[in-house]
Amino acid sequence: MQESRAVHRSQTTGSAKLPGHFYLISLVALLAAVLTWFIWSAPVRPRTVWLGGGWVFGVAFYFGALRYPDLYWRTLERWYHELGSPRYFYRFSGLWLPWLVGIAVVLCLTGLIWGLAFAPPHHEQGNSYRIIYLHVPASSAALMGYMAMGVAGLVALVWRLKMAEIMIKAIAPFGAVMAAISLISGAIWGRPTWGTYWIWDARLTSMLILLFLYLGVIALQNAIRDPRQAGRAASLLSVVGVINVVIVRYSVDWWQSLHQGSSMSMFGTAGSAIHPSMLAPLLLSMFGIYFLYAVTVLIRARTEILWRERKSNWVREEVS
Amino acid sequence: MKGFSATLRREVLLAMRSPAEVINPLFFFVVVVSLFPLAVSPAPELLREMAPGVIWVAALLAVMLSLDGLFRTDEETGVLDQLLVAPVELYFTVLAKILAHWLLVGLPLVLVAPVLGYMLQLPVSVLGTLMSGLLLGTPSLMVIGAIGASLTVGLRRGSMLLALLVLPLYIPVLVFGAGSLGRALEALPVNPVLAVLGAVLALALSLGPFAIALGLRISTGD
Amino acid sequence: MNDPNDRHGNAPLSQVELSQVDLSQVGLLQVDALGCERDDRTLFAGLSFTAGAGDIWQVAGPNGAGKTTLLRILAGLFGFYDGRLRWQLPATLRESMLYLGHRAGLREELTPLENLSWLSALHGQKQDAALMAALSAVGLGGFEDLPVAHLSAGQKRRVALARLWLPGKPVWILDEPFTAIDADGVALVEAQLRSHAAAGGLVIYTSHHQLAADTRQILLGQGEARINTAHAGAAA
Repeated sequence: MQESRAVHRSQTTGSAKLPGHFYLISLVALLAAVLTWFIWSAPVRPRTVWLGGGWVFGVAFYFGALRYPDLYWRTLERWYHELGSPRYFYRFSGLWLPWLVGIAVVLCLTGLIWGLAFAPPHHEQGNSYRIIYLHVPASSAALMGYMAMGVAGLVALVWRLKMAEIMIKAIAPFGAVMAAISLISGAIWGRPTWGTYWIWDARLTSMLILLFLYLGVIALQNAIRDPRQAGRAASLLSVVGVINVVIVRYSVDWWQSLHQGSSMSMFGTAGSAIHPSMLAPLLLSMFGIYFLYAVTVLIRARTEILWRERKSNWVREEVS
Repeated sequence: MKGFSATLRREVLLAMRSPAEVINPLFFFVVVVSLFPLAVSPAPELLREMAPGVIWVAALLAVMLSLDGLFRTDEETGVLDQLLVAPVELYFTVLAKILAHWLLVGLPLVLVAPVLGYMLQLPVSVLGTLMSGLLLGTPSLMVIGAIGASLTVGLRRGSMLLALLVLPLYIPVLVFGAGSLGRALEALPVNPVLAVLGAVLALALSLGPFAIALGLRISTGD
Repeated sequence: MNDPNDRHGNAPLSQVELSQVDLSQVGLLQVDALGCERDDRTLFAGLSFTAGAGDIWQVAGPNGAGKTTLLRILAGLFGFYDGRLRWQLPATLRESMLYLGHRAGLREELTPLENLSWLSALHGQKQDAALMAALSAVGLGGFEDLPVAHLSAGQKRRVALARLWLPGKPVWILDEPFTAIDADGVALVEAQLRSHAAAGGLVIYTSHHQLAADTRQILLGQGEARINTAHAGAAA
């Protein structure tokens, strides 16, 4: 199948004049950063880690986009073509996949074994707190997945990138599973902490709504027969959903304060400070889950690419 | 703005010709609310405590069920295609359709809500909050629901899917709407909450029609 | 209204340019290697043609060959296609085009006049007198205040076709305009299509009914598209 796509921008030569896309991308990046910060729910004390990450990203962006616009735009344009084209994506992801699998397995195993077996017990909750090594990574992966779907949806709607639609389809089921794991592990954790499996805690309620949002996207995708149309519809719903997630989170927090229900404080009343010996395995397992996420998404995206392009010559060659 | 007033007039005319579409949601609202005392208990204290949630959930469901037909008949008759090829901004025609639908379906709900609130033993002093909350909340529910309706317009058995897509999106409006009434019952200030509902409405009205227009284009295959 | 998101490369020519360019030579519509797949089936592929002012194009082919889809692509309603499509019009496509779909685009609860006056308000051509004239031209004088639900299938079709008698649209894209109408109606519509083409308009319609031996044809079927303009030059 021919890739017919107009290149909107030709080469930028001077650094004086910034192209229109720059503002859009900056806006999206800023929005994503703000959303991530706002919604970040992990009880990890060093939120500064993430703010620092944001700084690194911002500085890189500044030097990339403002100081060396030529290089920046050329790289961006190459990515746009390579990652935007299913064929290239298939080839590149095939190269990355073994590495990602390796990293994911190592990180997950180290993080989980360290956290479950070797990290010190909590002074109030004893050993029951150890479920955070599953609960927290799953929660944050579910949330990040939805954010990623929103960004992919925006890209799919604005630039009509087929790959972005494929990514949404690839992300949604894993995100839903992560949300479900987060809910189940939260319930299991709730039993020793609150004496009951379910409480309408703000965090658990938000996660439940997130699961509903995921299920909505999946249901819409399954209901529409034409995959291209389904992809665009799911993109729109993801974008609407991401805006909504922000408001949901705010509203649920407010609702909680209104009814003064019990809130799960993960580390007791002493504040959310977490000892480094507990934090290190948590971060490891969190990144492990992220890499696992990437692996799953890539595999699903590759399958979807093969399915969508099954009539094209390169897929025939690839498969035979 | 071209096409706005013509579309508004036409939608009102259409509703006049088939009044059931307008009356049924109102009827649904009243019936659902009156089921609760029968199902739970006629004890006044209990009813008063439940009333905000019951009224808001019933209003939300009534709005959502009424939206299934918002674009469906137009799609089946080919009117939607004509709307999409017309040289007008879809933003405004969509806005006109929603405004007409709100005037005919949403506004009656707002007007009848105080009666139901009184029947659920709400004190008269909070009925104003109930009405202003619904006045700000139902248009948002219309817009958000119409996004779902635009995405499911071409699908058979789309109404169940519509509920699945739209209900999670309704949660903030529900929380703030029922919450404002809950605060009024406790004699706490409600204006901040109503302001939040207003903010949600502003967001829905400014961005929603874009999403709806896009949804309609996607559903017809663009 | 100039829609920047118009994906049909529909760059408006300015009026000055227009007076210098012979539109019949330029081609209002250029289609290049157009192809479309739906539900795993290639409807057509490699369709290329140039349609100019004064042309009548008939899209023919068996059921399910993609006639309606092709018209929806041309009208900007269906976006999943390969190849290129370029409208070259003095205004945007939506301003210049009259599209009559497979379904009539009428609400049953409203009268013919109410239906048409809304449509012409959207197209900025609101004159009730013109609408009455158009309705009587299709033989529906006296029916304008009856709800469309009370009309027969042929009469409904005629209500939709009445828009052919409203001025201001150089491009007509008509999906099965001849279904359900009687022999008189067919003759009436045929004459109207001819006079539109003679006045420099472009007509693209789907039907099994060939207007005349000189009509240009697009024949769809078995995933292919053929152009038949064999007799067009001779008659012109």
